[in-house]
Amino acid sequence: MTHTTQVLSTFAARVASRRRQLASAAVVAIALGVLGMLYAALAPHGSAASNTDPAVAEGQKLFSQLSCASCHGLNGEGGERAPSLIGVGAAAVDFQMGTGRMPLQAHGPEAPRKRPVATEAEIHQVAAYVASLGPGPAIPTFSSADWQKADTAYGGALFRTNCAQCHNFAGSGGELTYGKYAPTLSDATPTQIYEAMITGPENMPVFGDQQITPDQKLAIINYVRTIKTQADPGGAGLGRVGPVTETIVGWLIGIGVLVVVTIWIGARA
Amino acid sequence: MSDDNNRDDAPRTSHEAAGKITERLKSATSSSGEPRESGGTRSAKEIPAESFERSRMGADVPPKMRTPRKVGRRKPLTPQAADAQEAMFSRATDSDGTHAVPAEAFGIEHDPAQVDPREDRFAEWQVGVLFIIAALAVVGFVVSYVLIDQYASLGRDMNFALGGTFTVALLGLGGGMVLWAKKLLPHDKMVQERHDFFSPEEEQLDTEDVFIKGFREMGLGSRKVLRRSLLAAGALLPLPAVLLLRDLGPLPHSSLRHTGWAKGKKLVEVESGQPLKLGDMEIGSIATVMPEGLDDPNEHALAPTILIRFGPDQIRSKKEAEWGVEDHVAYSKICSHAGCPISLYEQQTHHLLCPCHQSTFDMADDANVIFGPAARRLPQLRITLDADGYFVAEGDYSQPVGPSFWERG
Repeated sequence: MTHTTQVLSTFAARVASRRRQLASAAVVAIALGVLGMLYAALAPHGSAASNTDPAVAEGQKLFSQLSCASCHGLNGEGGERAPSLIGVGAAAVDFQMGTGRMPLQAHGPEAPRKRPVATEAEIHQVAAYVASLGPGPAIPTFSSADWQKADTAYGGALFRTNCAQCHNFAGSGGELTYGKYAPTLSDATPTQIYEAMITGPENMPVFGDQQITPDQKLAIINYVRTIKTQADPGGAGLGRVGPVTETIVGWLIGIGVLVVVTIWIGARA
Repeated sequence: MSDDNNRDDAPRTSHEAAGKITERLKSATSSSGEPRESGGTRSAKEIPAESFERSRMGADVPPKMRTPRKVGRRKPLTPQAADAQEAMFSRATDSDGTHAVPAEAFGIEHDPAQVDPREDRFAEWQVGVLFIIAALAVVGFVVSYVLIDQYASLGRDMNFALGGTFTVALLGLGGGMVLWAKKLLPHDKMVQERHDFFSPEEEQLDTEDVFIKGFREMGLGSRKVLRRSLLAAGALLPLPAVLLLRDLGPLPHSSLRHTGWAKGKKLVEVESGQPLKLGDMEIGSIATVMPEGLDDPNEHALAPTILIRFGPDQIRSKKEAEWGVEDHVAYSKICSHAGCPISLYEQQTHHLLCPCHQSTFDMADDANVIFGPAARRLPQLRITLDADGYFVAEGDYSQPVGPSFWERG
């Protein structure tokens, strides 16, 4: 008898505690829902809403959904943590989001290249929205035949004069000051290389079309893409950084192995 | 006479007495000509003990080593190892006192392969396999040379195949030899005792005698004319060397102080040769420019200039803004430290970084040095616009560009 009562009371207690848990979860859910509806009703709407282009409207939605607005401001006006996007143009958006640098994961000296969070179509919508905020460079349009017929040798000369000092003569990238760096160009698409030149992302200088003409830019792109696919006649390229890695490998691995072998040969049995 | 001697059968040299090396290899005689005892009987037991007595290694030998107590009780060597050891100890002590010392004197035990016939066979096969690998690799080298297209992927396939097979061949051969020496050869050592480093007293006195004799023979003590004229000639001898040093010159004089820039010269882009005009440069852009019509290669070295366009109100130095035009400024591209060309420009921070020694210049603050070994700011080129809106120099640089030099002051 007492045993049955004990079992029953334990069961009742368990049911009660589970009910309490469910109740508190429901209260939180309702509160969040109400808050969300209030926010949707009261939050200010973007000023560009008057624009009739559907891509711009979609882009404006994405601008908030992809949390661009949390740093760049609801209307891309910039804030304490991020610059204004008025006048940066569609090319800058396509470059920054297409290379995955934006949305930024963490503040640091340099935004690393990552997998893009949005599809190309979504990126183009955001770019259309940002372009509607103020005039800026548009996303360049050229076919692969355009850059493939450009002068590779001339592109190499231009690359060595204007790009190689930071990006290395083989486009492998290099260090700058205080943790900043020039990234490798091996993953960059022709469009991204072009966009980087006309927008000057992060600390890269701008190379406008008046200064380096579109034809010259295509020649540079052809050079970058050509050396990327070139074989290394000497064997492993070691990142194509040049004498530094080669010396490190030569001394640490080459001489190191020789020293170990010499010690083994000379070791007493 | 000599023909008679030649007909004599008696050996005249020890080389002749010992016989041809090919014969000696077969009959296994020692260099002293004695026939060697047949292998095995006089092995590890007696040889080391006997040669210990001959050795005066006492002081050099580690404390671990004692006169070999274990010699008599050690495992017998395999026939091949005993043969090798006997061959080593059969060499007579030479005039330098070089002689064999048993491995125990250094606390070294024999390798298992020298006492265990199974280990011996195993080691022999180890070495043999390495040699076979080396042989196969050489065959692979020849096959690759014949079969691989030498132009395939810029010759990389051929390089890799030839280098790889030859490396394996040399490594196999070398590794086999090392293993052979470590496992199968006796670890006894040849020792040559060190002699004193200084000459004996008689030799020292003898040398002094030679010197004194020469001094007196030459009469340097009595012949004053000879002595003084020789001193004079010796003292003047270095003069030509001093005169030749003059050819390190002539001094650069003003050539380091001026560049190819002059008043009214257009700033042309170095690669395209196009002059730049206001509006060509966007905010945050840079260009490497040279003076228009520069053809003297000697002036190329000092003329490279970097043209930077800032945003409005980004230039913090009043002088810098005045010497530039419409937020465009021009600075020497030659680092004031060691003369490297600098153009690692950071658009946001306005830092210009020298790739050679990491000197960093704040281009918004009149190229002030904010890091690195450079001691001076980069010189600024005063620029203006001509009637057509092209950038032109107001004159040459007002101070020498590039690294310091002796007369820079």
